[in-house]
Amino acid sequence: MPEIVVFQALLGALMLAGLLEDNIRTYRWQVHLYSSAFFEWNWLLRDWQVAYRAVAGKNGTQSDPELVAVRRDCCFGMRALLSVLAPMIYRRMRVLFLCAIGICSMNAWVCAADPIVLPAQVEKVVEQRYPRNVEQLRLIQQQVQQVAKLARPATVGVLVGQGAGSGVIVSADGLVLTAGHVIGKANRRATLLLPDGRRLRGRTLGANHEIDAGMVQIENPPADLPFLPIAPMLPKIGEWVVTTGQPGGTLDDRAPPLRLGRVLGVDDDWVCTDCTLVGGDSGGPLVNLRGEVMAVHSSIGPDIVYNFHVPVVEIQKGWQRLLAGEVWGGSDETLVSTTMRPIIGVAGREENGQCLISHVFPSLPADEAGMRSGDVVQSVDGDNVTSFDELSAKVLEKQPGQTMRLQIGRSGATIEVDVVIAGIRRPVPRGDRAESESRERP
Amino acid sequence: MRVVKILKHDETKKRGVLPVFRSRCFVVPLWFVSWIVLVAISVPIAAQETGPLREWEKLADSRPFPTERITIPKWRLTSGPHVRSAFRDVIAETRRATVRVRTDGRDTALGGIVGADGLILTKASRLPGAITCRLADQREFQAKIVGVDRDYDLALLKIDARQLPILTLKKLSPPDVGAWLATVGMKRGPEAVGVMSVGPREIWHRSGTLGVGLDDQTSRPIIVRVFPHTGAEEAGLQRDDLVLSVNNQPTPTREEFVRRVREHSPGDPLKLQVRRNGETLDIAAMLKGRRPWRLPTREEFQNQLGSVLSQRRFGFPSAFQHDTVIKPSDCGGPVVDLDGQVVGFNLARAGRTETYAVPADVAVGLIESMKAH
Repeated sequence: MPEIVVFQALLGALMLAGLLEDNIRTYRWQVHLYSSAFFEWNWLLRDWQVAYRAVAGKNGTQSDPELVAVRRDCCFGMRALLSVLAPMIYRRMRVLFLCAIGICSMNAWVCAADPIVLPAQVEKVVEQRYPRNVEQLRLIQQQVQQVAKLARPATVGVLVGQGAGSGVIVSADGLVLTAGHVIGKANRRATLLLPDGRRLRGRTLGANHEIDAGMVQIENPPADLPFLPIAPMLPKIGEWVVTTGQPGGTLDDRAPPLRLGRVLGVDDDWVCTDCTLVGGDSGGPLVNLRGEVMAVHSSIGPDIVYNFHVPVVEIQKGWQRLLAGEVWGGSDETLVSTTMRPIIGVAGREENGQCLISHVFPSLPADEAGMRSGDVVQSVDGDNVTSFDELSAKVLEKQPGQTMRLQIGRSGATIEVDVVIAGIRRPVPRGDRAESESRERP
Repeated sequence: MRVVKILKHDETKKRGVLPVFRSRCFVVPLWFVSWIVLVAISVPIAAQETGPLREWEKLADSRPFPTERITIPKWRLTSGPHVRSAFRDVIAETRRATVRVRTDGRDTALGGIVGADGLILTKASRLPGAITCRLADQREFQAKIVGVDRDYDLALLKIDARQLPILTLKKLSPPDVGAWLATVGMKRGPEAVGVMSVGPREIWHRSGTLGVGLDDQTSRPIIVRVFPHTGAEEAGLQRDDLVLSVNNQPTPTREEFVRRVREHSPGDPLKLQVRRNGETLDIAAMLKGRRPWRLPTREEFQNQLGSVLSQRRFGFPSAFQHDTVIKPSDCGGPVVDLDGQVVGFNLARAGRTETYAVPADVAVGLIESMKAH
């Protein structure tokens, strides 16, 4: 501990010395000028966070909310400080260089506290743009295999109500981190399926639907519960990451499949990687090469590289609220309005060039408008209809809430009915954000 | 010391590129203009973002996906060209014994040479049509099928060539989870790379759909309806056809016929014998996955996002799973680990997260039994 304090004092002194050297007034413009250099010093920010983690706690187990708050404040304090100082630091390359040397040596010290040591040679390889040869690939492989051995046992299948997702145990006393849409509400009964075959009971705690994060507490956790520490920092773009989860639901004869990828994009409330995800993975962990949880899986998009995760740093902001069982964010209105499919609730077929209704589903619009099985739909809004496919096409053109006028032939007579179109949850959600993942048990 | 430095700084500013900009009164407005431009750009953006959510929703379809706003360089992708080229030495040996399988002039699969006298292992369900094999040295040969294993959907082809380089297959168990795996193709680098996700296990069978409605008035399998966009329609089955046998297994009853069809997976070919107008016809049909008149389930929809899946992808007695994203036309070829050792053959692209491959030790046995057959 004392080393760190002394070191920081030294670092601070160095920075101050660098700043005092010049007239601060000259640097006003540089704030704008060097804002494009943001990513260049982003790595610096991350290392400060690592340093603070080392100060605040030993191993990064996040069950103590106070500790989390302290660390979070530290990180945010540092971020604020750095956002002011960074342009100046950037200008002073000499100081930056000194800082870098210092931070690298500190990193080595911090590594000792990590669950898996990231050897210096592996670190050198993963910080490159890409691996150049077989030796470098082999170094990555060794590290990934070590991480896999830790990450897979701590990955659980989460069953809540009709839904199935994944989760990751993050403390020895049985706290499970998962996605908000996997648990939905607080205080529901949950079943946790461990890869070793154990089934544990749990209760859902809070959920943050704004960012899609949730928690489950295992009831009576066994003593030998495997868990992963969490990393209180945003992933870096280009960082190598490993994901696990239970895609397509938990299968008895399949351990959680491992996937390897890299961070492609980072924002405040999402991380995008090329680790492929699919329904059922939701809530599973994104793990860095030190074996720490960096994010949980949330959603996917239409391209194979659109896999979205919620960063743990963002979840930590509401950590205590989640522990207290609070549910917030994500109104029902937005859920419904963007994911509706028009429906009138009939089944039918084409018969002799006519659209015959063979079944009318109860309490759906067609039923309420008085349609019956055996009806023949002759026209929709004045356009003739000759097959059931044509009728469905007409319905799909409409929006829920609109009205369509059907001309119906029934036992020789022709009647007209107005059907108000309803909406059901679309199996294919559409929206500007990524598709939300399966909540149903596949 | 300090004064001198600041003066120098100012001097460099005054000696701008153009003499016009020398005087301070020009330099300052330039700063100002650039700042104004920045503000002018950022103000409308800020205004839009605070606008009502509805407006955004209307724009939803025209807006780029969040990640499109930043560029992703190819070198950053896990299976991008730069990472793949690091595998060149690893696959060099295997590449010589890998072939491109083409049917009717189109690339349909990859294959591996397992016998120096022209025996090639590949994916069976990708082979309807006239088969040719293109070797690594660009020679192209006509091929004929000498053996098929329907359980693994593998086929053994024979081409008329001698002294070919062959794959060295050892009876080793597959590498540990997390090991790099490269799918070898015809290029110097692999087609795609990924890692071992799950060790060998049985991949469950799922029933395929033929797409016919049967007459429930009689016990014999008489077709009363052929559904559109199904394997039955493509095969030319018609109303009132009586099905006599499926893959040479007689189907005297409706139940028997349904059971025989359900034994097969989507993507499996069926040989049907039907009686139509007193004539007996042989019809080849391909089973499809889901019923085409139903919407895809969430699971089906999500698995098809971002990559094309193999038709035949369920029901393998033993396969390991890896996360390599490959095309269906790149199945059937060898997969190697970082030692350059062939650890298996790709069987199917099965989902967004998974590709199945038969382990090398199993493949050795299959090749032997297909040869004997």
